[in-house]
Amino acid sequence: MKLPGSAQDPLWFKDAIIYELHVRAFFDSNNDGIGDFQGLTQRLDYLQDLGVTCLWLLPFFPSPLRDDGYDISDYLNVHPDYGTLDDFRAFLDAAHERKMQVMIELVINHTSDQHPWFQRARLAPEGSKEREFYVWSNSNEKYSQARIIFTDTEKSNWTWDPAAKAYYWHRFFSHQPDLNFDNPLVLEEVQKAMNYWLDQGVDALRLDAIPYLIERDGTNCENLPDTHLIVKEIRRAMDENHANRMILAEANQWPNDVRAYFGDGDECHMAFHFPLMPRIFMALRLEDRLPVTDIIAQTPPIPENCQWGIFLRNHDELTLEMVTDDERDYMYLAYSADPRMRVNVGIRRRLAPLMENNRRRIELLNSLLFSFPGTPILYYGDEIGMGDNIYLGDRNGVRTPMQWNADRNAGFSRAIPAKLFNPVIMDPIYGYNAINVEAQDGDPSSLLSWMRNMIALRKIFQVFGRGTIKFLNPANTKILAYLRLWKGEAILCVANLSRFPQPVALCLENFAGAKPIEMMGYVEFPPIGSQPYPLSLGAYEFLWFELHQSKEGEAGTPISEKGAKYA
Amino acid sequence: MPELESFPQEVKDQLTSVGSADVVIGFTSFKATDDLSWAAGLAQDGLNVLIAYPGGGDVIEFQPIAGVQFLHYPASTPERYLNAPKNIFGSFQEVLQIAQRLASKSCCVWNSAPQLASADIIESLIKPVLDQNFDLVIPGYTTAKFGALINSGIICPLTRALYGRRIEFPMAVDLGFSPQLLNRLIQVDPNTRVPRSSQWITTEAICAGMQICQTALLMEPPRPPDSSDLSSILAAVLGRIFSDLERNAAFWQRSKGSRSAPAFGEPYTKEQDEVAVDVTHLIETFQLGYRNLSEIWGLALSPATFLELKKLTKSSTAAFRMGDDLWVRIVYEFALAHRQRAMNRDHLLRSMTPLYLSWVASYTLQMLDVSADGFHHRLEQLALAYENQKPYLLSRWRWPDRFNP
Repeated sequence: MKLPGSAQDPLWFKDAIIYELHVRAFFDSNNDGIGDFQGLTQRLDYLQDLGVTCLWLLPFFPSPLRDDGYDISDYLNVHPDYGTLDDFRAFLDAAHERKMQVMIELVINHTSDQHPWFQRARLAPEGSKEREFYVWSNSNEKYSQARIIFTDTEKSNWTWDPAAKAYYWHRFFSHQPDLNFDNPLVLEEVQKAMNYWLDQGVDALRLDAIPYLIERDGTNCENLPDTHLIVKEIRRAMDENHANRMILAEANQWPNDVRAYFGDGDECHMAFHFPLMPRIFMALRLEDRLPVTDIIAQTPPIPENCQWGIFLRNHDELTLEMVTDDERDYMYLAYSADPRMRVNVGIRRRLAPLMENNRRRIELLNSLLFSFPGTPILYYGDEIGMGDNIYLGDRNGVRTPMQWNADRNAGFSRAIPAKLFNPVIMDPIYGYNAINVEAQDGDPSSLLSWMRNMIALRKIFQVFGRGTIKFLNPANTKILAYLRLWKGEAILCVANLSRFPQPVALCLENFAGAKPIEMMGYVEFPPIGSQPYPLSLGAYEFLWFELHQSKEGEAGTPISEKGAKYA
Repeated sequence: MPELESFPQEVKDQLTSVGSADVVIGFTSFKATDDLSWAAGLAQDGLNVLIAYPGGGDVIEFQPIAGVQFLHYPASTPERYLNAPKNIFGSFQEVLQIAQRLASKSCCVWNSAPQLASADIIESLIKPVLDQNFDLVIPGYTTAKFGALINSGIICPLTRALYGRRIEFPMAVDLGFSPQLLNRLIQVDPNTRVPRSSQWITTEAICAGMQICQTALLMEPPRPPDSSDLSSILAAVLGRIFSDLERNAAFWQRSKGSRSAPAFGEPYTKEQDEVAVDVTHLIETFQLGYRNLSEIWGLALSPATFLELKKLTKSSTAAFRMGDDLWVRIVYEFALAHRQRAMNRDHLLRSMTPLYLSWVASYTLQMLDVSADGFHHRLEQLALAYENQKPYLLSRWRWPDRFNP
């Protein structure tokens, strides 16, 4: 008998709106300056009102916190700063009660160097099963084709351990030794951790940094065939005992390489579409749709039971690894005038500052997020337009406390300000006095209200999560226009990437006779004829249309048969 | 609510010994004096019939009828059904579970008074399932100019506009079910986490794409359990409809136009003597409501709607008319306020009572000299107004904003 998840539909993740948050940064219930599970539970009603359906929690496990929790020292517990296992279970029940699924992190590529496995390994004899939990070498030249990911802090993927008298392998920080998946005991332990959390009722797992699980001589040690065998085995073990759960792959790779992590529908259910994100920003700044249409054209089809995860911003830098050198240079110039805005190979900024706090640009990008194929993932605070602090180290500038109101510490905590894990944002534009939930909650014109409306609207139309996309190619390249099609349903999305009004004529002859209904106001536009369909869009404006039959017809059948040929 | 598993062992044993039944007829209330001899008429067609009746008392000894078996089942439903306005739609779960267990080809749930049942009536509810593969058979009760006005003024036209089906009594409580539909209804709805049978069955069936028909019954629509408390009934009815709007948003927002559900039998319109309706009292109640409930109405109604109401308070009794567009807009704006939780939902819906009475007053004045049949035309006009104004509801639903016309 498989343990069911909280969702009934095995493909629930296709219709989900995922909200990424850090327990530490959300709400502090005990006033110690650090957010916790009891605090998060208290704020679930806010998230339910927002309309999100799945909560993605950044790592909350015991950890020395040298990489914001991605350096785990115990897979089976909760960091004491965030509460207890009972607090986690109460949170999980409360989220499920509100029909929200919960996704947690399964960081399996590496552990903290404080993990007992590593401490045991460095003292164990060479060749012993304890030692072989990690990857050791007597030379730091092995796997020399593997790139260094954290270029700002690491000079090598090998670090010397004086106790072991050998080098250990790490693709990320030197305090994060990579686990050795050539040792079957490692996979066994990983599966134990996975089953432990799935048994508690967790609905989804984000597999962190999975391209790097296996190392082989003569390769770049990324996306190797043996890595896929490991992922398949994890999926098999998950499906064996649990129903309606989901695995999301973090594989910052080109679409063709990421495609492999879906397997034949037997590896990961979802994977982030990393290259799409910077190209959305690029298209906006260039006022040209090409970067977006180009990367979508390079995106291969995926199995029916799989889904892309798409996002604008997250807890990491706006990564520029999956762009060309020219594109990277352009992005740095366009979005990070101050060198402090850059970290590793990317830009450490939140959405609102990237958009220079321009409400229309923020809305336009979110409209793309909500209407592109895939499941949208929101980053906490972006729904109210929170800012960042580029003077904090690493990526901490985008991990500041959630801004609830204009009270002390932004209403996040009653602790003395000096005790906060990170200072709140206090500048005059993005500071908590100007940007906070309480102020926006009662304001129907606020960004928060807009986001709520957009989420509610998207949830009405399954085509957004499940349908195909077909780009139109109007002569005006400042206009991005596409059709979303699913089961005879058709939605036309048109976006103006320019700061100025733009005309466009769309070739929609396959929909001749259909009446476009603007979706937000339910406003009927003139019917589509045999000639290109003319529209004018204001600066950064977007329009979504349902394409309805011109003839009054059966309930629930909005599009003519002619339109179905695209689907 | 008892699950089949929690039925007493003797009931389970009896179900095992019965094995199967072509037709299950389930009563949700029953007295020992109720006569079931008419059931012989059903068995004449060669059907195996099982009649399930509820209660906490002794098993009743019925006169044997060939081809008919009786089953006494425990149910908490009748008490709730009769006494609690919020449950006026009853719960059919127990009967549906019995029907499923017996693999019945058709099931009828009878919520009206048992003495009103007859072989002809029950047959008209089960035959469309057996012979024509319909999934839900809804009765068309007799209609009358001044009868069932909550249904005529709100439930029927609103269901038609939103869900695209023209059904005379969408909240009828005596129903025929196919195995497909009853299998669906006994499942728990993952969104609400209650059995679907305890939700509004008509919209459940429509949204699931089930085949629905109507069958004319020569009986009056059942009266609500507590007919003296209009506010409670309105709050219960509207609360159910408006809550369903949230749950079924993805369906009704795609539904366009409307079409008739197939109908069997001749609908009957009752010749009704002119009733002495105290229209003046209804109008005074509305005017009093305007004075006392303006603050609440202001949370729900747009300025333009409110202005129309203000003008209406100044109308003389003879000239008192509430236009269809105004009434429909009021209903839609209350639906929006309900969705936005503008205030306590029960209080909000109860505050609509004087507005409903003003519509009744206006309708009554318009219908006084209209023939018994003529009011169908009048109600058709109202239904069209609901359909025509649906885009208004849609636009405000999709983009809630206090800054309205």
